[in-house]
Amino acid sequence: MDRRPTLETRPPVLIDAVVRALIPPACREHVIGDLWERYRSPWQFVLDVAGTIPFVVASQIRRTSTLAGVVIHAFILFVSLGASSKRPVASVAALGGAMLGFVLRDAYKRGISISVKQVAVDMGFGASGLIVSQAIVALAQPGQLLTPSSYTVCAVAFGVIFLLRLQNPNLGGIPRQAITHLPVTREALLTEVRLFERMTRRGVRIEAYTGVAIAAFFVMPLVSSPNWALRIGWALASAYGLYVAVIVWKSQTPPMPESLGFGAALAHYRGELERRRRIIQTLWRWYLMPMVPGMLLIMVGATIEASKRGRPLWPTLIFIALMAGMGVVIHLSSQGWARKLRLRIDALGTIAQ
Amino acid sequence: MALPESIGQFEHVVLAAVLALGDGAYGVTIHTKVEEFTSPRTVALGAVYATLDRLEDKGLVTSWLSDPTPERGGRSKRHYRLESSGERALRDASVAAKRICDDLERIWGEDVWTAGRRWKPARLS
Repeated sequence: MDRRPTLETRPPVLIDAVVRALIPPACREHVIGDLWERYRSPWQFVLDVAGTIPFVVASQIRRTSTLAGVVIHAFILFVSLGASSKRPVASVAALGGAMLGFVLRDAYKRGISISVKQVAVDMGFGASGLIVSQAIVALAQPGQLLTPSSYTVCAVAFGVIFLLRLQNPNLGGIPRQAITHLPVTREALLTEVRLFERMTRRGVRIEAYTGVAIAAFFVMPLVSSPNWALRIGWALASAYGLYVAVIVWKSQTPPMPESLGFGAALAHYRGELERRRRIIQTLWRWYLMPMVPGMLLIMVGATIEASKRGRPLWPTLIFIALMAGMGVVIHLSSQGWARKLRLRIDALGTIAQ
Repeated sequence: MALPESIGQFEHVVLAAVLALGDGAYGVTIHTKVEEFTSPRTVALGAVYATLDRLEDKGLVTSWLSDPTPERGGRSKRHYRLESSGERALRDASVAAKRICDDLERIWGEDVWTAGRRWKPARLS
């Protein structure tokens, strides 16, 4: 049976425009082409679309969002909203709305967000999700809306997520095509190397400045700590911030000399990728483990204070569990990232051969 | 030697469809072939896309966009081809399926494949 649409048998313009808007750009071209090829009647077209869009959107979300990325975003929002709001419905809705905004933005954008402007747009989508969630809460339970102070804390959380996305644009995952695509000319290779250097340099700066800021910020609780465990804990946490800043700063990627030929440039780039892979693979050793003593002492100190004042211990236990969970997520995510870098190094090795 | 990538039942069907179609494997034809394999069950077109994406991420198939064609509103087709790892995974899954089929034939007899809707499950005592 010939299913090719003629001018008379093409989908209605309005439906086609809606469908085009709903299908993620990464697969829009061929999916719409296939839907047109199968077109027989408007009703059949709508049914076909209904059986296609949920799958392609879900598949695109799977490709553009990693579990670690989602968990880290949700954790930052949860800590800020949970700590600031006594209105659980509004907090849960805000968290869900913002997460949906981020996930859908990642699924519907072309490529990854590299520039400050692109990351700012990402944040706009997250904020829009949060605002829409509050609009829905306002209609359903007007008394449960987020308080103005919650929005202030949310703004801080969005600032942290903004820095996190700037520092690590691949938080949403590295697509398979980006791993297997090979630069065949010196110019293509140089473009990739320069982008890698730029992203690494920016990531290192953000990480190092954040480490220094954390070290300075932790001096405040250190000064006002009511017991020895908290004082030592905050001192260790502050020292940890400085330690990470120094380690990260030392791991900077040196710029590749312009004069290198294709083979030498490829060897240099593979060497730098390998160095970065080792740093990421051993993240648990130099990044996560040194955090543990300070955090443990802060927990012990907080527990001593809670028992002195007759407060329940469960919030401290939940916080310990959350921190441990985050550590596991960061570790697993870094191992996955290191594996993908290994694949990229191997793929580049096939050109060298 | 590393174990080949494991695949699910639907991935098995889609890989087989891509192999069977050869150079003509793209969304519409793969979906038609998959429905032919799974008949009388129907399959959503989107389920085929999602599975092809997953297979591509596993490195079992590769894809590329062809030139635009007028009957598709000037849009390209995304063609798919099995990688050698995809062929290995398909073979391994098919060998396992064949073993199951052989055992079922031994228990139920040869007419299990031809009986269609007339076939009734035997009650084991």
